[in-house]
Amino acid sequence: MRYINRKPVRDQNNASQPAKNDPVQAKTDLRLEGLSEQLDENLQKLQLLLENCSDAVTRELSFGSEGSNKAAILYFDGLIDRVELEEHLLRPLLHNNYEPGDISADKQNQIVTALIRELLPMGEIKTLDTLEAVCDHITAGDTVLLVDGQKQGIVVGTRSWQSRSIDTPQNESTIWGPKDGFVETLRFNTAQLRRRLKSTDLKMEAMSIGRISKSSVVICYMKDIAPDKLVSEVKSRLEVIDIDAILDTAYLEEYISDEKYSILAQVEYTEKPDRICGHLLEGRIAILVDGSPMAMVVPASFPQFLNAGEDYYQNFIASTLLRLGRLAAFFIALLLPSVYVAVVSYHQEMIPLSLYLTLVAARQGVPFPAAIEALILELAFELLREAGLRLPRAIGPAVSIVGALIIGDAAVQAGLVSTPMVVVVAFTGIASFVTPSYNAGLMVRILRFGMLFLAATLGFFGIIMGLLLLAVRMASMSSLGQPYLSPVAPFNLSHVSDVLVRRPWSVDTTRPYREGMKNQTRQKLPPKREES
Amino acid sequence: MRRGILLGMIMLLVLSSLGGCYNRVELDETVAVTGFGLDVDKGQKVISVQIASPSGKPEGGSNAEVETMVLTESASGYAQAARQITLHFPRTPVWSLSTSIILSEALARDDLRLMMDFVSRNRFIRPNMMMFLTLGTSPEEVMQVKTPPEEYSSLALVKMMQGQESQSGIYMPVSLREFRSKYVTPGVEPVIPQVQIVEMDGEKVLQLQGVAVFLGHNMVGSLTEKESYGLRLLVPEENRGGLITVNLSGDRESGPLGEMVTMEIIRSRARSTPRLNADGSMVISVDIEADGNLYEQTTSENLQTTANLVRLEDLTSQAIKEDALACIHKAQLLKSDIFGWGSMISRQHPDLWQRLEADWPSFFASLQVEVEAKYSIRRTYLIEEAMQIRN
Repeated sequence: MRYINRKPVRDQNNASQPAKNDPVQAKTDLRLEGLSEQLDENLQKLQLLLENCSDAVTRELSFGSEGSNKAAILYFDGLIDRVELEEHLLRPLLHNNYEPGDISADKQNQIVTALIRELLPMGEIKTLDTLEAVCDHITAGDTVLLVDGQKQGIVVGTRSWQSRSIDTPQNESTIWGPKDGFVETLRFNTAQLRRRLKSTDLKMEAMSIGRISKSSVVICYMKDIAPDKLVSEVKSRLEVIDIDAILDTAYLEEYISDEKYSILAQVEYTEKPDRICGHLLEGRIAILVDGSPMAMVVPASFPQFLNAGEDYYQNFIASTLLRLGRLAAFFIALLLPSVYVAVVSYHQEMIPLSLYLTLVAARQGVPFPAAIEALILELAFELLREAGLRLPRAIGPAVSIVGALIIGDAAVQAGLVSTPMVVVVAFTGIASFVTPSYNAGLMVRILRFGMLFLAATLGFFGIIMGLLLLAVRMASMSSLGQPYLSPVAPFNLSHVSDVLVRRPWSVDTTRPYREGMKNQTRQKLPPKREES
Repeated sequence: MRRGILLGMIMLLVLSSLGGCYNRVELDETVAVTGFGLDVDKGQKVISVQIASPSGKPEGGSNAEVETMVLTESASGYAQAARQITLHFPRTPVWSLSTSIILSEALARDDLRLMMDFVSRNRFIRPNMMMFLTLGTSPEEVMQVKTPPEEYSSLALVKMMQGQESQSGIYMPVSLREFRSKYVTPGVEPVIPQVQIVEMDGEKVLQLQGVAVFLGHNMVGSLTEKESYGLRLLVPEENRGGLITVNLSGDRESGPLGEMVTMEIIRSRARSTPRLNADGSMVISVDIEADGNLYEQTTSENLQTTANLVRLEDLTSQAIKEDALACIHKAQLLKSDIFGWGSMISRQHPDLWQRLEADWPSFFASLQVEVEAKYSIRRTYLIEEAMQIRN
């Protein structure tokens, strides 16, 4: 278990003590001050903090039977639900002639308490007492009510902003199964999970990461399934992260993965809540970050990248065949150009005679060695793919037409490349799209070039060496302490079958083994049906 | 981490020096050798190479025009002669792609030792190549014969051999591996199917014709077609495919044409056992079991009756026995143990073999042989009764 010995990367206390006499520092000091009883003083300080924030709104008002209580409301425009603000905060305060009973001098925050208890019809409401808390809440979309003479303020949850509605994930399209995907708003995402797993054992621990972004990060796991050690390890690795902002879940990968400098995909990303739920039920942990529709699943093992979410919804025989096909496609995407180059430049004796004659005829007059030819076409393919990704949707198809015409036809006509090589590269391209996971596909795309280099210099010897190195590397790696190739290596007979075949649910009664996992049993075997 | 990268790079460097690019050759700088022939000419070793070289623009694919050419070189050794080809030919021949070796009769009658070292030692010669022997002509002439629709005669020979084996089942293909192992094993002699150039409508065509029989290092004679058929029935491995013709009158050679019946053999297997008599003499008893179907009849008599089918089975068993005996007699005449009975005895009676080994060919020639054949009809195909001609 590698993660037990892991030391924290950085000590956070040291990082939060910058030099003095710094204007930034001065502002920080102001933020750390508590709220004073004087509303004007508070507003002055906040004015300083909110200087040049054109979207910050401060609304001063007075309430009570004779307008005796002065107060101010602060929020950021665009982050709040105005109707809620007006209906449930302003209207009760301004229209009700509310008089909070007797206020004795020693109970300073009685007005605040009374407002919360008796007047304001809001679900999410609490008190705060520092300027920093005020800033944190209003930047997150809450509204703060400060009352004169009170050392505490009131914060009400009015968060509401324009956001993308729940949609089918563009990158993980499926024929079968649920079509909804995550969006950029964390709360909607957690709700989608909770809606599927109606259990209080589904824990969602929240923390905030990022000095500036203060992004909410939620760690989801099933309390009665996921190993405690894994959960605490993930938490401790997240806690030590010191970064200014988290703009996507992928920021976290490099912080929490076991091998920081590896091309191999070590965590799984998905936009599909149903897939996350499947992983949670197998004792994995999902990490959701506010502002990103991608959820991260740890620990990841390599075979997992070849499974598509649909596998578990379709007929299990079909899924099994598709899964085998995907495994074949993985090897084709990784090896086909290198095998072709190796055979053509080193091992001509392996080609059947009729194929040999076809290949020789096609290669007549091609000016480049096969290895260079493969490299050119592979690069062209990768560039086309990248260009198609970046182009606006309206002119995207134009690229594929130009690509198909120029690469596929004109280059062959001009005798620059040979037809078999175009076929090989095209087939490789198709195979590389089969891998369901984008980051695993990326890894294959890059490793393919390494394999091509080895094949071009050493032939099959090189390819075998490359595969050996890859296998050794994979076998020695771990993801959050779980071996990267499990359950293939270390071998686990009862779960290795889930790599190649998709077992029918009625006999798949155990969860894949994970060290320290509780509750291995999914369900009981169904009772035998009586023959009548 | 930096150490790891450094180590990795060093490993890669070491790797590349290990394998290296020394044998890298671009596909379009090579030509395929489809087959080659070996001959001797007044002590000089002659090698003829059939080369397939596609020409023309690359768009062609499989339809590209392909020209076949035969290069011949002679030198003091075959490897030397093969090297000489590169002196006047601009591309690297890929020897490993060739499919057949054609030996000349002159070489076979002279001494096999001349070529066995070359074909066994050379790592570019595949042991699964098929062997042929030309009668009368040189391998070069055989390779130059056009064999439409097949472009290369050496490939055509291989396909002819495979086709006739499953269809008519007369000759057995002999691979270099098989030939080599029989050549070096005591108690069994190798054979090679023969190929001849015959005139047909004014065109030269290739025809498979008989089997060359070897004894020691030389070819000693040939089997006819009938004897070759017998040879195929006598091998211990199971055979598939083949036709045999019987005559209802019992006379296969000159019986009335109207009573010819063609029987198909779907599988056959021979089991030979040496039997020692009390007086010390040895009898080889051969049991041939074959299954097959009624394939063609030229009479209108209904042969599909119980009695007739039994009669047909007997006739076919008789015919099988006849062909097998013909082959055995010829082999005994040539003193060449092509059935491997000697090696069979050496396995079953090692002490006896010690005495026999030195003089095995002449002992083989005088061996007593008993052949039993049993043929069973399985099916009679699509019609139930014989075709009746109505007037």
